[in-house]
Amino acid sequence: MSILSLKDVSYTYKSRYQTVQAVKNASYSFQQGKVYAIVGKSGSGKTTVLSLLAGLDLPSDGQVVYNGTPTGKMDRDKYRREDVAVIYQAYNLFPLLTALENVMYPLELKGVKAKEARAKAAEMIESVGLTEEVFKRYPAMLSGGEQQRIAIARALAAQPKVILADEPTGNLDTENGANIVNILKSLAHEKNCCVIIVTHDLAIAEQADVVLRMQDGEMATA
Amino acid sequence: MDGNTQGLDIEEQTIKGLEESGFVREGIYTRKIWGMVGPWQELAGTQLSNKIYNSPRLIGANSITPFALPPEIMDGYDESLFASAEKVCLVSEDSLGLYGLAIGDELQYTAVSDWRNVRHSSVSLKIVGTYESPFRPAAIYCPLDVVTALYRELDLPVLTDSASFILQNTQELNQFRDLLKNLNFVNQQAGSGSNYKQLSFIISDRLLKNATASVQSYIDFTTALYPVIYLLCAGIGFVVSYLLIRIRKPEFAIMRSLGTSKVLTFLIFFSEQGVLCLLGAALGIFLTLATAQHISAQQFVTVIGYVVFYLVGASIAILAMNRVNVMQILTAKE
Repeated sequence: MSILSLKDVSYTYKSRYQTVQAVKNASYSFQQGKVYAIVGKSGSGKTTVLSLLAGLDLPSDGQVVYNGTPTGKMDRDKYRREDVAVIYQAYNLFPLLTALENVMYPLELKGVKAKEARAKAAEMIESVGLTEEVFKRYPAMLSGGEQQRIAIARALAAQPKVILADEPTGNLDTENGANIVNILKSLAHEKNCCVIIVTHDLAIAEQADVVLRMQDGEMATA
Repeated sequence: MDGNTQGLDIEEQTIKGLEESGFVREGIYTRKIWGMVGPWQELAGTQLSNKIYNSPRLIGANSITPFALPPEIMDGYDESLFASAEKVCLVSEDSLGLYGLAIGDELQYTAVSDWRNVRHSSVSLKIVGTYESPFRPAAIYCPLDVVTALYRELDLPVLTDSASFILQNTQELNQFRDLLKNLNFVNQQAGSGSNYKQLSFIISDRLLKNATASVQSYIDFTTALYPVIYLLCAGIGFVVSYLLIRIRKPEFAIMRSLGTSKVLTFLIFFSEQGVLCLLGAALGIFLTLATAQHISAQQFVTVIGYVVFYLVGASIAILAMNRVNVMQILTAKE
């Protein structure tokens, strides 16, 4: 069953000198329980699609539909709080919060009480293979792999149905990268999440259930 | 001051009262006595009157201030000689020639009680300096205590013919003026002539007025600058808060990507800037109170103005931040 879909989505923006059509009439339906890889060269429109799927932006034409509701007609802040989570190459953790506090943030944003949020955050951190030792460490005190796991734990904390990942292994070594991909795969196959990974790494793309290729703003199944 | 001024006759009790009033920091006095240079001469009637009239008066002073031009004083003495009771004097340059005297010589002066029923007393004064005077005969100046001693020897009431006071606190000028009126002094405008029947006082507050006029013009200038200062505050507030927020752009983007609403993001950053600004303002007020012991209403209004404009600047900066492309910030590759 489709949980998230692109319906004739186009996205145009104006730069200083020209108008750029980053996405052209893209249509696709994403389902729960599957891992999708969107591959393509730099500037092909991958990240723009991710931004539209995350509700951080609205398409110029067409619709992004989540569970039957276009993102343009919903509270997109609530959508990002509860239904979708984004994982980035640069981890993007709050530098002045500890690992545990970083994971607690989306829970507190949802209104979960501090004590409950703390317990839930601890559980999430342990679920991505980290121990209690990292709870009180600040991001700068963690390795790249550990930071990305904390970022995944934070993404999972609010129990989203859709997980978007932008080059999640881009800053990691092969072993750590493989671990992260395995975590994402298990989220799709065991937790029934819809995982969409934007990458230019074909090794990662090969592990996805579906590979989508983007070229000059157009999307097609590989 | 010159040697021929008639001056006033201020009783010793009055001077003492003013000195003990608490308003006065320092008093500068002159006290004159009539007489003749040299030993007593047995003269009477008109001859005596003419002799005294044509002789220099002996003026005691407790400060060098009365001289329009600084006198020349011989080595071993200085301006402090007037504060002592030493038997020394300053004479006019003309008098040296007139009496055939030189610096360092002794000059005998015979003071008289009055011009008719004369009692007299002599004092020998060492000439330790000269001064310039256009008058003939020019007065002989000596320490105030020397003349006071002559008054006492002649059994005369000790009268002061000029008194200047430096106040402890110029802010108490009006209270001092009231005290003088209570002591039956009359206010005499400078340059309007003398009052022979009553004691008069002249308040020479020209320096004070000049100073206050200068301060007032500075205050006026500062007041005129207030709008500029406020605008500067607004600009500084905007720039500081904008830069503080700008360096936290990634945090802002993370918050937005995690679903923090624009309103909540605004409130978080605004309250943070507000706390910083208020702490800074409180510290400024504390330091002002600690150093100046006082903060004026105008200064307080300036602080409030700064806080308001800082927060307005911060608001604009945060609103501007709300328009950034979150994805662009978060997907910037390392």
